[in-house]
Amino acid sequence: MRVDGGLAAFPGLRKPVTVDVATLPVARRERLQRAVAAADFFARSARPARPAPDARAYTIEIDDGTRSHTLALAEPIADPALQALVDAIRACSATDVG
Amino acid sequence: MPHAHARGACRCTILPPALLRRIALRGTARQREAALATLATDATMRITRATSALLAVPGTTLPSATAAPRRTIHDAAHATTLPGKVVRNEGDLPTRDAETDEAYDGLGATYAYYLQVHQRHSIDDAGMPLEATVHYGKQYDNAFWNGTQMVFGDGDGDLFNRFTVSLDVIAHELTHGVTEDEARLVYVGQSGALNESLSDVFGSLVKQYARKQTAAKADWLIGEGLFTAKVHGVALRSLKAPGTAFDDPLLGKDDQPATMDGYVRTSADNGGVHTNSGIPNHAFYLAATAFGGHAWEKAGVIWYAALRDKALKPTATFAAFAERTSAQADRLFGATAQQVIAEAWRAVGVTVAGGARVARSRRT
Repeated sequence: MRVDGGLAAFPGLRKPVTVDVATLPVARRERLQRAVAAADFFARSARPARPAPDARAYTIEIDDGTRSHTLALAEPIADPALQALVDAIRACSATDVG
Repeated sequence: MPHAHARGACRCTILPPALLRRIALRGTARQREAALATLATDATMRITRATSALLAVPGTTLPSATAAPRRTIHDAAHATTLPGKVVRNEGDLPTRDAETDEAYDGLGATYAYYLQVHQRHSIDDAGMPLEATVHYGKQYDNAFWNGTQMVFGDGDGDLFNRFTVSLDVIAHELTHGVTEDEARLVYVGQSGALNESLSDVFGSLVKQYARKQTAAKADWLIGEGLFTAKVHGVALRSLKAPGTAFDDPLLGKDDQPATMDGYVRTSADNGGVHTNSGIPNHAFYLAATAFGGHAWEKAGVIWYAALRDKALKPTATFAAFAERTSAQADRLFGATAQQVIAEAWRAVGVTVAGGARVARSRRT
């Protein structure tokens, strides 16, 4: 997941966050997998994020071994399922940054 | 007049409001201005009453007899659905929730600045209600303008404090609304960096106006107080010294350039809008300090006129904006001021075309 924009540009936060599901603790892995399923991630169509001042944009790419899909989101994320997915990735990346 | 405290955001005045009102009515022009501003930015003062009571004072011009803010603060309760539940309306007493009361007071101070300095009645100059949402998301490290309202996160408490803590950040967000209403600067590349810079410039001016600081005394920082003690940095940005606001192992080093020599070409952040904004930011700082005195009296007035100049296009470059500031400086203050502006831009590497003139200002 790549996070872009926000009220300030922090060079240290620009690099993409990569999460290897195989290395995650069970609880986090299951939370992430549930979030991906609940968001119906692979069926969502990618669309360019419209830039709103200071809002952040997220580019999420997920590869499950058989398929790969990319989704662009812009804040505010109105869909709770998509917000839960972003939160789940963030939670994983807190300790599993690749 | 009772003096209730808004937790964490109270601007306590030494002079009682009654005395301030007397000064506002009978003092010199400078005394009246200071007293008016203090009254209007005091967290306990209903701006409606302060401004309407002083409408009859010569030289105190307001857009209309009913000019007053209409603030509504919502609470998202850590969800991301906007706007959330209403927790404070215009005129309500402080809630004792720091984020709510800081947002309310910050919007009031920003409204007061635009009204008293630029005679602008809210975001759209037509009394648009000021809507803000606090407690947005979980440990949310950001604040933004979504086209109709301001949104503030609580921060994660680890690197960032609550985003309502800095008055200049609140004014920054509200100014995005003003820019959207006026020049509609496209949020990408140089026009996007100008959009960002205008929010920083007026964000800083709102803070300076509230503190009654001269250009020489102001800190010219954006977002002071946002970082926790863990972060190596003083603020998000510095207009005085772009590139020096933070240098942290996790956040990285502030990479804002002060001049065109350091202009960053990138696809990130809509073409580096928060990075290259350092260049017009610094030009404003140089102009304001060259004029001396209060930054909002000359440099601020010129920048505001340029923002409203109908010749400024949504895709304006730095050079195009510089030309508008030069033309407005000439129109408003004469050739000497125009030279100050041209020199400020020259110092950051932007050449102003000579002899720029204003045909007719937008809505004037």
